[in-house]
This record gives sequence, structure tokens and C-alpha cells, in this order.
Amino acid sequence: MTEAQIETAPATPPGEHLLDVTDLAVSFFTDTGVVTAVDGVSFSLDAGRTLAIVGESGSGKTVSTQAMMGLIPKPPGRIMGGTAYFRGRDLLTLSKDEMRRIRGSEIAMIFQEPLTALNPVHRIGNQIIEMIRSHEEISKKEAKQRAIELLKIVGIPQPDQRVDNYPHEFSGGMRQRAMIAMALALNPAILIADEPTTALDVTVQAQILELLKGLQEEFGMGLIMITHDLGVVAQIADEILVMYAGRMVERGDPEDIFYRPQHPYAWGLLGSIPRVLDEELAEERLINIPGMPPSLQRVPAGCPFHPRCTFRFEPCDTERPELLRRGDHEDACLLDQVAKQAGRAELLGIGEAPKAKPSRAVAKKAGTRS
Amino acid sequence: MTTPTETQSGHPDIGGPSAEVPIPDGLLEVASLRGEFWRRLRRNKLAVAGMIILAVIVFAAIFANFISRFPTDGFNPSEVREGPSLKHWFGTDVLGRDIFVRTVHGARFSLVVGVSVVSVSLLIGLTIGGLAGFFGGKVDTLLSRLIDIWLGFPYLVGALIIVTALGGGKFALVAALATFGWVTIARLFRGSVIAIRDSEYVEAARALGAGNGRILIRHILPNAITPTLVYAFALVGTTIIAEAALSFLGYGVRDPETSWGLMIARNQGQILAGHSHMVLFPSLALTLTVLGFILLGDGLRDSLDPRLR
Amino acid sequence: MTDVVSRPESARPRGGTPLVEVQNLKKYFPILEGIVFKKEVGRVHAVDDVSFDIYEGETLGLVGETGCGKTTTGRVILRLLNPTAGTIRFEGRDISKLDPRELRPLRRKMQIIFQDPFASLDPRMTVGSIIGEPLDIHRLADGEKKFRRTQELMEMVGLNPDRHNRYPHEFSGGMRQRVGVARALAVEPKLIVCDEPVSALDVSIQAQILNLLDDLQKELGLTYLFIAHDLSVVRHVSDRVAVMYLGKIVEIASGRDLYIDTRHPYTGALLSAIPKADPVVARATRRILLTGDVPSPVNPPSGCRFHPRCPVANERPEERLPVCSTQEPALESIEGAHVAACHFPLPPKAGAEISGVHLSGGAPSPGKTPDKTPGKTPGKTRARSGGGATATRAAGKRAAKPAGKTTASRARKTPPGAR
Repeated sequence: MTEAQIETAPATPPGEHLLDVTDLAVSFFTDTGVVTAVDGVSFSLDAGRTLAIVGESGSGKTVSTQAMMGLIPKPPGRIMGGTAYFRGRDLLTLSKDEMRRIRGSEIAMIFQEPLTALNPVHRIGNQIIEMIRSHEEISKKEAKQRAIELLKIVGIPQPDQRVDNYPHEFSGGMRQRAMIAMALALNPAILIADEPTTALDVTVQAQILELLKGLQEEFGMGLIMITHDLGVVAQIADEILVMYAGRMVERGDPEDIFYRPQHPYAWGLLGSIPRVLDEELAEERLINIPGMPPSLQRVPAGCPFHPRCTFRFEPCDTERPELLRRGDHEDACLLDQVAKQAGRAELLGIGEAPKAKPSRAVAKKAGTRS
Repeated sequence: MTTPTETQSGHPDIGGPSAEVPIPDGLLEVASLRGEFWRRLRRNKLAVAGMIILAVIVFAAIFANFISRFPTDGFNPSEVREGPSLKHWFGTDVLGRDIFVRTVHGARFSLVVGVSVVSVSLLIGLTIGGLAGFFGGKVDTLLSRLIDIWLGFPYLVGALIIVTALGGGKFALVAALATFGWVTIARLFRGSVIAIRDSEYVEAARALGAGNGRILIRHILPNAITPTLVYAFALVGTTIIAEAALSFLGYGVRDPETSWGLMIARNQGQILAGHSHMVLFPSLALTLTVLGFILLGDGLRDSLDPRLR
Repeated sequence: MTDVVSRPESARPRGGTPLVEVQNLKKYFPILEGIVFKKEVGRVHAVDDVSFDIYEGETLGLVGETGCGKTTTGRVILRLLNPTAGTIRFEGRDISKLDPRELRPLRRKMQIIFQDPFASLDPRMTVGSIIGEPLDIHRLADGEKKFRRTQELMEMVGLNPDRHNRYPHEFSGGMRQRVGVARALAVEPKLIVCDEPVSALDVSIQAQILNLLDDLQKELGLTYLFIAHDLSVVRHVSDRVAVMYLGKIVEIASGRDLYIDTRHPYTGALLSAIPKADPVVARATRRILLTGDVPSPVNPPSGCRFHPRCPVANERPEERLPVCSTQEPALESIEGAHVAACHFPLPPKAGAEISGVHLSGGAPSPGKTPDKTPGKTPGKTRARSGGGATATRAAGKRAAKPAGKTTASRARKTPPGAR
């Protein structure tokens, strides 16, 4: 196991990451076939850093984190391989009880719909209290104090009164905050946020993202943000992992991914969103990735993206791309470096070294530079 | 192109990410509505049992005249009160009539009554329930109160009164039972209609310019009818019992018409005399038939379950 | 009319009247309580005195958050809901009070595409019959002709016509949405209200549908009212954008002006809140964070509805709040076509800083067409109720054409080397 870890994390010696996932693979055995939900995903997370996992439906982003949390029902799901080291232990090998102890107290999760975590028939305060007391030996009174503190930290006004409210008495944004409060109750080392702001209005979303960032700084948590929204990613991620059809297709820091994306799928994703930041391009026709993401029961051979890729060439349908590393930036595409730059320039009109200056638009139009 | 994938807000039937059940990120390939329906029905063992039972009963009912070698009526003094034998499979009754023949004809009778009653009930119930659910407001209030009042009447007593008032016979029986059968159908259907009338596809039809009639018949009816249909199956079963009860009490049909209830009533005295076969077979037939309908109804409900939505 | 010059090519004014004219539109929903006898205890002011025009061939974007009334507005224009007050004119004709029978022929001219590609298709009908239904309703074709038309429509939206007897659940979200589009096109409408047509779709599928809608607009000369909450998508597709807040329109501007020359503080907050898909810009742009949640339209605040959360009003409370909390601002012309309803609008070009837009270096700044001066107003005055409304209306009516620049960039809508 140690060998594998060294290979995938050359920059930091093993054991130093807060979370280290290697070659995670999860499949579901249903009566209509085998669903390969996750196939060889690796990433790591350090304290105080934010990893964003980006993908569309069917990319495997949710299942990856759920596997880590032990939330996959074991039939029909099965961990096909990989390791997930957290504080010296492989989460994938822990027993149900051990996982239960870790969930909530060391690794917490928040979701898109707060009502999946908040029971509508119990008061918010009581739910937080119950959660605290199931992991720690403290009195109800102390726990309630903590709950009020938590509500205050997440920005809920009049926390001492609202602690006795029911979830339906909160607005959408408040409910999210309450869910975050509950997740933080035991000071977890890692917070996994699965599309936490997708259902919220954009002004509320901005508040919640600010909150998450602030809390992360204050508590030094590691944050894993699962989302499909590239804007959110650009704003808060320290590292970005792009997934497609259960596989990793690209990983890097925000500047790498947004200014120097290597994988055609990433190009397609970036080109699919209206580029309103550039006056010239705001009404340009969007890039169309033809076709649809594949069914995870029949992932295409070779590169899973090849049927939809304009740049595919001969080996793409038979050879599964290995992750190609350049510094901290890796991608799974068989094209060589020159071809990648050319493709990227052709599709997105971005050259090698863009920086956010007003003249960037001019640099873009100046075309490619190899 | 037929491979569906979940929409990003979470596929409705699978739901969003939850702490309990993670969703495989890819949906499975789905077959046509009809194919899926049959597949699930076949897998439900109880439903299959129900179907088999009913198939037998229906077969018997249809081919009653060909199955039996003996007449349903008549006086046969030489073969009175015989137990089951190779000649008379179910034995004979006090008048020497072959019980097997009479039971089979009883099946025909019961099915005819059952289906007729439920058909009429459906006609009335769907109309009233549909109107109440679709139009809402005062119409709904009025019709709902009507339904509530109607529900207040005791079923059997009421049916009894009507049968008597109409002078007995098959027609009276059907009328009496249908008078009370439509009520629950109306309620069920009304509920379904209310649930569906605000659906987006109904709104879409309106936006296209569809009138109420088209919306009711083309959009609401097919989608709302499932629970009612399932109930209707069970209703056939309970109607048959009700008919048997009425006949048992003497208010249903009379000889020489064969009804299971009548057979049971007439021959109950024979149980103590040791000739319980006269009551046993019609009772068994009655029980199995009702069971068949209920099982099939349950199976239908599970297979028609819009989990595909 | 000089306005013609700057309008997209496909639009030809029919005698100069807009395709749709909305005037002082109100839609309130009663809140009822009581068991047997319901009593009205309050009203939801979903749409509260809204006025704007939609010109033939253009795409007007309608954007706002929950409770702003944009969806309701769309529904009322189509008469799927009845207006509480105000008028709606379609092709010059007042349709606000028509009964269902009179409305039916109108349905051929205005259609809707829904947000949820799942719920808007009858699950028990085949895709072919769903698309063909409008042909039945309006008796446009039957039998062989209907079949051929259905096939044609499916091809037009990018669906395989062989799949006409499949059911909606056999298709993915994007495909289902195409069915919805085909259905809307069956009657050859002039106006299509797109109610959040891409919000429920994955990003890459969104792009497909947006491109499809764009192609169809060019090919068929359609007019769109594009309702969405995603400002960047709206900016991308629209010629003009109207921003709504709590039942009112707070700003109308061309997409470009909205981003660069934002005037209303709420629009500014929206722009600021949108996460920018560019890491450096995202971390560099000015943040305007609003406090609290979007209020409910049941009891809207007095005066300017935005005043409790408005960063501008609350920046100088003694000076500004008294005005903002008592007087409702009217939609006033900022510059030509650009209108905003604010007592203390943002300074010029503030938007660029907030939205992070890079002004294209070297390209000429799109000047406003010189003819759009207030002097032109008098000729367009119509009798209107309420004094303030007149000025608003006149100004609003000219909030029509996009600036010259936009036409040019629209002409550049070719895929940059993509398939």
C-alpha cells in the first residue's frame, strides 16, 4: 500500500495528508447489470484546504465521497478496490461501528437538501444536542449551550431563541446554515459538502459560500465541495478534480484548470458556460459537447469520453488513458502536449499564459502559442 | 439515445443525495411501460397465484355448459345426497342435482354479477369523482357531501332494501349493489384527480389550448385511474361476497338460479347431517374467487406503481 | 423609427407596435383560511405593477430570485393565469380579459417551454403523440400529414424521428426538453415563453439546448421571453434583460449594459453574488453581500421594496433611508434604453467592477444611438393612469433596442471551430 501512495503523491511524503484516497473503485450489482460508479479515483486533502470535485450527473462524484463515509449499501454496492487513508486508518476497511463513530465527529457531510439531514419533527436544537451527546459525554445543558454557539457561528440571528425552532420555521438559507451548524457540532476535521448551494438563490448562495470559507479558515477544516457549478469552484477551490463517467479526467489547481485545461472534456465544460466575463464572448455560441454522458453500466472502452470527443484519434477507443502528470496538474488524455494546446486554443481561444488583466481579451484573440 | 441519465437536481424517483441510500450515478436502461409492467407482475408470486385462480374460474364460467354433463336443475331422487364420487365430482344435493355443475354455473353467475356491478359503479363513480376533483370549488363541495352522506348508509341493509323494492332478481341485485359500490370509487378517483390536475403536463395541455374535455379524457383519466382500477378488482371480489350474503339471506336470487350464496344457505342444514360437501364446495369456490381478485388487485398495484416516474 | 437600425435583423416591426405590451400588470394570490367558509386573510403580491414591451424577434430576459414574480409574469402573459389588474396586449390586441374560447386561437401564437422536462410531459403518452397533440387541438393536420409534421418537428429539435413511439421516461432530461420544444413549435407560434428551460439540466446539455433555441429563433423568426434565475445564461441569450425583485421590475437594460453599467443596487448584488468561472477574477471582484434571505411577497416592505437589504440605502441611513422607505421609485431612464427604479442608483460603470467584466481592449465603446434622446418622448405619450406612470411608460417603451454593438457581436455567432 505504501508504494501506491508514493506513486500518487510525490510532492508530500505519505501519511502527511489529512485524507488520502487512492484508486477508489465502487460498483453496484443490480439485477439489470453492473454499474461502475467509480473507477480509479485518487485525491488527497490537507487541513485548511478545499478540494472541489466537479462533474455532471453520472460522473461518480457523489458516490466517491459516500464510499469514503461508508454510506454505500453493501449489497448492491461493493468497494471494488482502493484505499482511503484518514488519520492513519483506511476508511474502506473499517467496521460499521467504527465508521459511525467517525461520521459526524471527524468527517461530516452536508447536502443539497437540508431536510435530508434535519428531521422535520424535532427542534433544531434538540437535533444538534442529540448529535453531540451521541458522540460525547456532556450534559444536556452544556450541549444546548454549544448548540446556541454553533447557530451563532453560522450566522443565525437570535440563536438562543431559534434553537427551539423547527426546521420548517427556517427559510431555505437558514436551514442550510442550521445543517452546517449540525455538521460542525463535533469539530470535524473534514467537511464534505454535496451540492450545498445548488437549490439556493444566488444571493443566499454567496452568503453560504462565504460562511463555509470563513469557517474553514477559523477551524482549519479540510473541505470537499462537490458541485457542477464551475463558478463556485473558481471561487473557493484550492484544488479541482474533474470527473467523468466515474473516472478522473483532470486534476489541478484553479489556474491550471481554468487557464490551462488539458482534457477535451474540461474544454467542453468550460466552453459550455456563457463567458459573460468577456464582453466580446458573452453572446458567442456555446460549445456543444455532442451526445450524452454514458450509462455507467456500459462505460465505453478505452477513454470513456472518446465517443463524444472531437479530438479523438486512433488509440482512444482501446487504450485507457493513464494519468499524465505535469507538476501538480494531471489529466487522463492520450493527446500529446502540442495537440492539447492546439485543441484548447481552437476550442476556447486561450493561449498558454493568460492572466486576469483587462487586456486578457486581446491576448485570447491573439490566438495560440505553442 | 435511449440511455437516460439523472438530471442535475436529482432524479425525482431516486431523490437527492441522502445519508441513507446513495444513488448509483447512472440510471439503468428502462424498457417500455408495458414490458416493464408485465415483467414486474410476473415476478410477484402472489399476483401470479391470483391470476391462475382467476383464469380457472373464468374458464369455468365461460365454458360452464361444456364442462358439465349434468343439468343444473331437476329432480333426481335416485342420486340424492351423494358424497363426492367419480361420477359426481362434488357430490349431489338434496334434490340429486350435481353440485359440481351447480358450482360451475355459480361461477358464471357470480362473475357476471360482480363485473356488472363494478362496471356500473365505475361509470358512476368515475364521473362523479372526476367532476368533483377536476372542478373543485362548489361543485366539489356539493358532490363530496353527497358522497359522504351516501357513505353513511349501511351497505348490506341498504342493498337489501333496494333489492326488495325492485322485486328481486338479477337486475335488482346488480342495481342494489351498484348503488353502493360507486362511492369509494368516486372518492378514490377524486383524490387522484386532485393530485394530477395541477401537474405541469396538464398545464402544458392547457397552454396548448386544450379544453377541459380533452384534458380530462386524454391526460387526467389515464394517469389517475390506477389506484381506482386496483380497487375495482378488489371490489369485484367483495361484490361477489355481498351477493352471496344477500342470496344467503334470501334476498338475492331464487332457485333454479345458481348462486353460491344460495347453495350455502339452502344446504347449511345438511352439514350436521354429515353431508357437508354440499356447503363445502360452493364456499371454497367463493373464497378462492375473492382471493384471486384481491391478490391480482394487489399485484396490479405494485406493478403499476409509478416508480418509473 | 430609428430604433429599427439597432434591432436584430430578424425583427421587423409590424407598424411599429411591439409584439407584447404589458402595462401595469398585477397578479395577487389570495391567502385563504377557514375550514368550511374560506376567508381571505392576506394576499401574495406576486406581480405588482409591472410594465414592459417585447419586440418581435428579440429575446427579452426576465431574471430574479425566488418570489420575484418572474414565473408568474410569464404565466399571466400567456393567460394561463388571470391578471388581477393591468393589461396585456398581443399584436396590439388587448387579451387581458378574453375568455377561454376566445383565447384558444391565440394559443397558436404564443407557447411555453417548461422548466421540468420530466413533469411537463404526460408520462403515459408517447413522445410522438405529445408533439402531435397541438396539431389535434387546433385541427391543423391529421393522419399522414400529422405524422409527417411530427417527424419534421422531431428532426428540427435534434431528436431521432424513429423514436416517436417511445415514452418520456425513456429519454434523458435534455432529450425530454427537446420534446417540449418540439411541442411548442408545432403550432408555429410567434412568441415562446421559456420558463427556466435549462435550469434542471447538466451544464453541457444546457449548452445544447441554448444553442438549439438560438438556432430556432434565427430560422423561424421567434420571439422569446426567457425567464431564468441564472443571470449569466440570461445575459448570454437575451437582447435585453429585465430584473425583477419582489413583484417589481427594478432595471431593464441590454445585456451588456447590465453587466458594465449596472445602476440598481439589487442588480449589483446579483452580479456580485454570481460565482465567476474565472479564479483570478472571482477572487478579485468586489463583493456586495446582502443580509438575510429573500423576503416573502406577502407583506412587501414599504417604499422601495429593496430598502431593508439595500447596501446603498443602508450606507447612509439618515440621508437615504427616509426616502427609500417611503417613496417607491419609478422606472426612470438612465441612458436611452436603459431604465432603473432607484432613488440613489449606482454610479456609471460600477457594474464592470462588480461583475468582473473585461472590457475588450481596443474595441470601440458602443455609444448609445444618438436618437434616443428624451426629446423623442412626446410623440409616444399615451393616456395612462397615474402621473408618474406616464413618464415611466414612455421611458420603458424606448427600453427596446439593444445598442449597436450588440448587433455586431450577434453576427459573430459562429462556433469557434467546434463541430
